[in-house]
Amino acid sequence: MERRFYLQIHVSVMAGEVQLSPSIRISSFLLLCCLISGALPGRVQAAAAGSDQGSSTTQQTKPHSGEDVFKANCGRCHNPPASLPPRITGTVIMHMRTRARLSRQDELLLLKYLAP
Amino acid sequence: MNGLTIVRYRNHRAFHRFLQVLLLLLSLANRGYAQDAAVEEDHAGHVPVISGGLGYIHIVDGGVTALEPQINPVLLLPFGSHVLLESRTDFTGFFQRQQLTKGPFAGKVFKTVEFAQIDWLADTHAIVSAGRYLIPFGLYGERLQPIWIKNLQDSPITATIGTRTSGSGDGLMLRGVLAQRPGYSVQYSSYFSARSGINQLQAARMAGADASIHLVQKQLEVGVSYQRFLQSREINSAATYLAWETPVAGLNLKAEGDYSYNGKGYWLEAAYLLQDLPIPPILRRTQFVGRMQQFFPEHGGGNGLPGIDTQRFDAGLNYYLRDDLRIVSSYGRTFSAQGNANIWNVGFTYRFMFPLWPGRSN
Repeated sequence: MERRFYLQIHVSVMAGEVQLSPSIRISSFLLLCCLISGALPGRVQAAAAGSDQGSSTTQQTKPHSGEDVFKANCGRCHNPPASLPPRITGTVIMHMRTRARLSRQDELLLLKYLAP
Repeated sequence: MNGLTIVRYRNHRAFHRFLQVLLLLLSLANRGYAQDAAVEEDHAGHVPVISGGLGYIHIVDGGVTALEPQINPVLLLPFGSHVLLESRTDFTGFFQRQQLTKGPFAGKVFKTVEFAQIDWLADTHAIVSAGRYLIPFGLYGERLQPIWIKNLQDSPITATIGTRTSGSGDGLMLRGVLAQRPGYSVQYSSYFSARSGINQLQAARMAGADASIHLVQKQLEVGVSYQRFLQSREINSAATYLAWETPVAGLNLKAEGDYSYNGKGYWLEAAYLLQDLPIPPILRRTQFVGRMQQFFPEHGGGNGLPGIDTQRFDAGLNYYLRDDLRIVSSYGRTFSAQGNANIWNVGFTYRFMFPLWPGRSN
């Protein structure tokens, strides 16, 4: 009932400052710390950056294949399609890269897997 | 210089700026495409695509019947391999009997531009989107809402948290991958939206961010979202969520907890597609779905949220005729102090996808 759901939210009401409870703030802070620590520049995977320049993958990423990327990511949101016509594969993968926040490396692997 | 002239001058200048940005993006796209051509070894085509979902849902909610046909076409228009123009418009009909339980059906078709954005896929770490975009808050609004994706057709109670006022924002969004390793990847989105009252482009002034970590081996994704609503009286909203494809093939779990000034709640959904069970193949296309949710209002609720404590349970049975066509059905029951109610849904959904004109087909 999407329509009814959105019709309701146009009703404006008085709102005020929300104070998140301490437990929520602490858990969110800890999770963010974990995320940030994994994203320190020195620890950023070289292959991810290298793939942006079109270089070959490093030894760390060799076990990954387009099939692995397909299995790991498509099912996160929806039932994967049984097939994809090659002529639209590039466009669809661009769309999915934006939606699913895939890396350039994953995009290239997917393209090679779906339209070899 | 009168006021009208000033407005025209400003519009003229803004249009020129827009053209400059567009030309810059297109030139970068062409440059990127030329670079990629040297290293790509695939045969993927980049022709414009029309995709999306359509369906029809027959709803009986508390004894009141409603008919809901809908179609959500998605236009994908690539410029090279680094710039993509994409949009989705929702056409949903909503028809009820004129006297709720008797009389002829009457209603109308609602049209909503859900997103119309241009994406610059700069690199792994940055995808820049400008225009109208879906608000990346929690798991549901941006990822699970399309009719052909969602396992249960009714939205969770808390789906309005973080998606005011239209589910979309007008402005800029930056997203991408912060870090990627064989075992995990860390992803983020951040956005700012300006207030807009333009027909079909309504949006609120807000800013927010989302971050998640995807553990590839465990098929587990955990994330947090935060948003600050920047008009009227400013409020914060937050969400935590997880999506897990369990080791049992076909069994998926999704959960989300949402918090805002108007209340807090959570939903937990499990879906099991019998794809690998030793049963006749025709039965392996069956999917069982269950979802439970609770909502607790604060400050009287509102903004699309109930004003009283509400619990709801849903059980669904879907059958995939093909990977893109399925029959959907569900039963739900809402529990609240205002009275309990049964909700029945039955219908079908179909995902379509085809090129707008011929391209490489090998």
